[in-house]
Amino acid sequence: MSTTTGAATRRPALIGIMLVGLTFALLTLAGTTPAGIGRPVDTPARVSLEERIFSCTGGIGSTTVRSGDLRNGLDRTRTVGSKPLRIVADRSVARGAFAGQQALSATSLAWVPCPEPHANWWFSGAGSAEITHDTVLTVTNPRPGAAVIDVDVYGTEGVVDAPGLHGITVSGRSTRVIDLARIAPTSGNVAVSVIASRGLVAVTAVDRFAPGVLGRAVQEWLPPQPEPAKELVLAGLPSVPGSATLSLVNPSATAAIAELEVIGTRGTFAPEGLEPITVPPASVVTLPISDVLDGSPMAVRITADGPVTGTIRTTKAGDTSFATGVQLLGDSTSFGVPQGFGRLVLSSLGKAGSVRVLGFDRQGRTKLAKTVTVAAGTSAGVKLTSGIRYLRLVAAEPAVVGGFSFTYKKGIAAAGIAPAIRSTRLPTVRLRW
Amino acid sequence: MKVTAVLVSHNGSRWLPAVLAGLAASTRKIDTIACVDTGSTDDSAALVAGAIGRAPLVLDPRTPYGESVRVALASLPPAEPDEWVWLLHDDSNPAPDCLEKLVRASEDAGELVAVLGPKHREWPSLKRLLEVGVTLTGTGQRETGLERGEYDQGQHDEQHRVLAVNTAGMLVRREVLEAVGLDPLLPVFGTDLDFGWRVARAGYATKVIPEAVVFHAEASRQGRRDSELVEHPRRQEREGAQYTLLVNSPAWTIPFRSVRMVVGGLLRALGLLLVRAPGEAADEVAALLNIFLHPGRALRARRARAGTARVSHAEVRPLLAPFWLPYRHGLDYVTDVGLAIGYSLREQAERRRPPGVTETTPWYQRLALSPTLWATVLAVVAGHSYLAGGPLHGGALLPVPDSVTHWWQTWGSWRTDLGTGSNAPGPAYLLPLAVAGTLTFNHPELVVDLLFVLAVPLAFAGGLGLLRRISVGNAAPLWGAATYGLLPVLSGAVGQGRIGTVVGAAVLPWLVRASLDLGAADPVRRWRSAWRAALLAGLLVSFVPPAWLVLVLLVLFAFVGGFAEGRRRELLIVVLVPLVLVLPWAVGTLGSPGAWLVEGGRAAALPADPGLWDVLLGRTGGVAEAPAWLAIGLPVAAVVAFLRPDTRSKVLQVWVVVLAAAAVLAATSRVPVSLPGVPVEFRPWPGFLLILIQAGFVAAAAIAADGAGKLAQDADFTWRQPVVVLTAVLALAAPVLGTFWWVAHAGEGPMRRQDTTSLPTYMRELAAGSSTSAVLRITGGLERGLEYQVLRSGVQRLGDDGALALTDPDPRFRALVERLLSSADDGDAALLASYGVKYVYAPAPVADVVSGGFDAANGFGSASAPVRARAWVVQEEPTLTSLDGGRALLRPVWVGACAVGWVVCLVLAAPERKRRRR
Repeated sequence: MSTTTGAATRRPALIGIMLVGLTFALLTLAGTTPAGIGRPVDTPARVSLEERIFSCTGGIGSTTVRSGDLRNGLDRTRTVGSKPLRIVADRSVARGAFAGQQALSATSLAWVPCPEPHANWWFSGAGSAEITHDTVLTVTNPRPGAAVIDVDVYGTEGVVDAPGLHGITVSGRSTRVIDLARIAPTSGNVAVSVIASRGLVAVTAVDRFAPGVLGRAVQEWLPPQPEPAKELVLAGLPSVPGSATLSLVNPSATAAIAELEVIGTRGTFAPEGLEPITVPPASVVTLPISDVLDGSPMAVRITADGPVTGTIRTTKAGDTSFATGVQLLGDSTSFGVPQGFGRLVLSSLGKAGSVRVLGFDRQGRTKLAKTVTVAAGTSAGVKLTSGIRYLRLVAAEPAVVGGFSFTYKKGIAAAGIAPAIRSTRLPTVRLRW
Repeated sequence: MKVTAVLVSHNGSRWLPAVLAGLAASTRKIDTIACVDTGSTDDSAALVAGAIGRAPLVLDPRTPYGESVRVALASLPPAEPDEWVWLLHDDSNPAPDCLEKLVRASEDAGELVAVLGPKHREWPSLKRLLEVGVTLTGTGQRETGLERGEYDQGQHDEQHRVLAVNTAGMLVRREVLEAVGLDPLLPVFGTDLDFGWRVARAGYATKVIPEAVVFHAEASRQGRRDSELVEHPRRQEREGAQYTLLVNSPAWTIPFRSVRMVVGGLLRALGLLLVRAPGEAADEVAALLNIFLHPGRALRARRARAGTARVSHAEVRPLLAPFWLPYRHGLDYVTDVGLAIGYSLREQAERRRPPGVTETTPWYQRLALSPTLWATVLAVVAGHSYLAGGPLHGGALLPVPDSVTHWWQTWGSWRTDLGTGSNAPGPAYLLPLAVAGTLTFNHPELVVDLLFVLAVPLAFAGGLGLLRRISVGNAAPLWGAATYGLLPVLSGAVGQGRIGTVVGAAVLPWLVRASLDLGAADPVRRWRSAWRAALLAGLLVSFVPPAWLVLVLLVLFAFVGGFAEGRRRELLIVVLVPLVLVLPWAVGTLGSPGAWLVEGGRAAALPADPGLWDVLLGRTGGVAEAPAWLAIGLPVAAVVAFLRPDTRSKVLQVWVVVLAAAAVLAATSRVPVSLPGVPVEFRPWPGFLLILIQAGFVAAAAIAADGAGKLAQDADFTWRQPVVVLTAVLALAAPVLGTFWWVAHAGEGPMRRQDTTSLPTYMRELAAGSSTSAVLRITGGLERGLEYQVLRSGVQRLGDDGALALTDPDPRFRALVERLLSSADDGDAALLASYGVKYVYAPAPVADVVSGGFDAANGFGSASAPVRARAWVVQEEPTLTSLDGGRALLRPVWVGACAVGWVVCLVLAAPERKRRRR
């Protein structure tokens, strides 16, 4: 009798234990998230642009254009006339396309990539004085719709007050030339921003600089700089030391304090004796940093507590070159280089990285193929022989920035390398949920 | 004077002996008799023959009453000057002095009185009054002027003129009977009314003589006679009365009368449905159909009556029932039903009276002692931020549409203009929401606001009712209900705007309560319980489709475990009928079954990534939820509940439910869900399943705690007492700390009252109510990709998300957007306009590709936009020619089936109405 009662009460208890156990097991299963949550259902390929438009506007002496793409190699060299040269790379080659313009004289070498349409343009190290230092902007609207731009000139004493700089209409497929010395005259170094409130424009800035009153004027293109931010990395510093000045602009309404670091071959360091730089609100500061540049492979990093952008002007034997604010290289980037021989500098911004460097000559033959490993926080140089006309960099992961400098006879030219992705591909387009 | 009796018999052997005996016992003998038998299959003819000494005339079984009387009269010698006919039915037994009283009255009456009728009393009860003359109401209803089942106490004993008297026991001048005649088109019912009316129009009077009494079995009307002529007595009676009204009323009143009859009939049918009298409702509708689908019959009858009238209709009108009478009956009826519901509610309330409340407690004290009231007050105080401001939205809740029409359309139409056009079904929960929004006189926002503000008291009240029903004590139900009631806020469902979980938590206790009677022995209770459970399950599944999976699992458990014995069909109803109640949506999900795992509310709105502790303690790892440790006492208490042997089996049953919920939860957590319109695979918000698990814990603990204190005190001290005490402390902490958290943190979370900012105001207002002012909204940038949205009538509204989630994106439209963002063709603006898009809007920050793309494309003009945002106006005239025009052609069928399903469920789930015999 007692055994049956015991069994009768034990049975539900047993079932209960089983139930509880099973429930907890299931809940454990429910408490883990399987892989794949949040994964896009279908990954639409990034949209390739139908075409890519480079606007080579020239503006210095006889400007020649070197363009091409990875598939077809270098196009024939063309000269820019009075009208800008429009180079269209269609969809099939857009990713590997490049175009640059070069102006060569016995004593100088100027080089800048031909710009593509964007909404925001910043140029630093410009001038706005008729005789000594003047910058001329060439604003091209290569697309059919009209564009409206606002130009702001920042001087050493704040924004240069000038009428007619806002709401400038650039009608479709046309070009406007803006001479800063005429429209917003002021002395000293200036920085200029061109913001398209409607449409997109391609802007080149030709800078004419006469060192001292008697010095021979030198013309050079100012490279476009990234939008002001709290960090700026400048690459494209010359391989021969000369006199160098850093020019920074702070467009915000409060002063920014910037510090400079050098990413050198041995590591990243702050140069001795260099005080933090105060950039007043809406103003430009310029300071000499010739001591910092020694010609070794390097990049310069500016960190500030406010948004800044800027450049480094280097002068050597009467020719000048400008450093470019750069971004991390990702995936594959191709670009053309000027005449002469030079050096490619790859700098790591934190973690180590490796980049496959491929150099091609005029016929598209591979002249250089090596994988460069850059240790964390250092810079590494790669020699570029004079036969190389264009390069392709393939970065395994975004860790390094790049710049190059070239010398030809007495002239020097330098540029930072902009990653191609921004221009070549649209982001994915999908239905918003 | 001469009295000729006419007796028509048809299968009336049950009553004939008494009728014939009554005739024989009559104090005033009849002078002659004519008998007709309409093909009786019983021994009626023999009985008559035995009594009168000769065989009755035998006619075809389908001979109408009027025709039988005509044949009987024709068999007699021609009428004498003062000859009267006494019509008798085989089920009407005249009192011995009936004829005497009638004859005396006829002698006293003047020349113009042609028809006399006795008072009818019920046979065999003999006491209740059936008729003292009859008339007709404006809606075609036979009207006696008596209360139902009124006892005869002489209160109507006054001779008076009436429209008509029943043919049973009617004494009528033979020449008038022959001249006016009974209508042969009327089989049985309505003959007397029609005859009375025509007699009145012929200039004669009909009087009721209450001193004369006939006991009437009303065999045909009660369906007690086997007759080929009377198959649906209720319906035929309605038809007869309506026919009489239509063929005798003046021609100009016919349109009004028709409208009144149709509307009144439909209203009556609806009322009958609501009180679970579907048969009567069907009779009502069938009678209407039969009358109005055969207008030829009424026309013929009207033609036959033309020219026979000798007095105007104005003479007859006072004899008809006053126009308001049907409405008074309607009002009486509604009052009756209301009272019945009120009584049943009061009965229930008294059965479970809260402690401290007695019969004599005044109402305000009762109110003050009601825990639900306090929960409501607390909810209003805690949720005060939900009471004022812009529209309530955010998280998984989209703003409520301005009009409830939007919900009806999204739910039931075969296609909508949403997005780039869709024929996907609206979510099932739009039906209950639309009904509620309609009942609040087109205030849909009120419905949703109340749901969220009163989420806690709604769940609390349901939980309290359920727990009081399944336990005896007071403390345990109160604890359980408080703990359960807080779940919607503590789990973050309210803060995140999860309408599915909130409604699910409110419905769940009622569903469980309705299911309790599934085990009842009485089949009526069991079936009603099944229909109620099905109805509530339908409501629950509308808001929380995954709940259906739990239901299926539970029924499977019941079948496998042998608990379904004897109630298999009831269980199948509970699990299958909800499918009918969500039919239009369910059919639409055949292509994307993942929708069954997603609760009501915007899918994939906020990430849900719970860990083990979260799922155990009822949290989803999302925002706006209380710390998980608050609920630690619940699973502990639910396990400790097993310690008590006498409630163990009940606790086991609860745990089976927990297991089923856990199984569904585990299954859904393993399957990343993808829906056609949602571009990412996501883990569905598990809110309701978690609440179900917690509810199981609460129920198990409450069942075991019921009276446990006393048990523990009485028992010897063992290890159990400390365990129980510790568990009790932990379990008590859950509602106490939970309440504090709720009051302190209510109103936090993404859902709040705020203005919608996704579009500039002017675009929103232009788009409202117009399909051709849609806005293409583009967000995102280079890093995370660009996203587009077509906002058809302003911002997306609650319910739109469900339809859009089941809609495949239009690849042509995506290609168009891609082209516009890279390099547009010349016709692209026109193409965009053909989707009904008027504006393109990009909120700040605007990516270069967006501003560059639209600035460069032809056919777009600048439009005003907030600072740093951009907007363009499409310069082509918008049309809807490119919208996906595909229609779900069968949707109306599913909608109809679903509506019928709801009505049937409501009728069958309604409380039984005690029907009184009339």
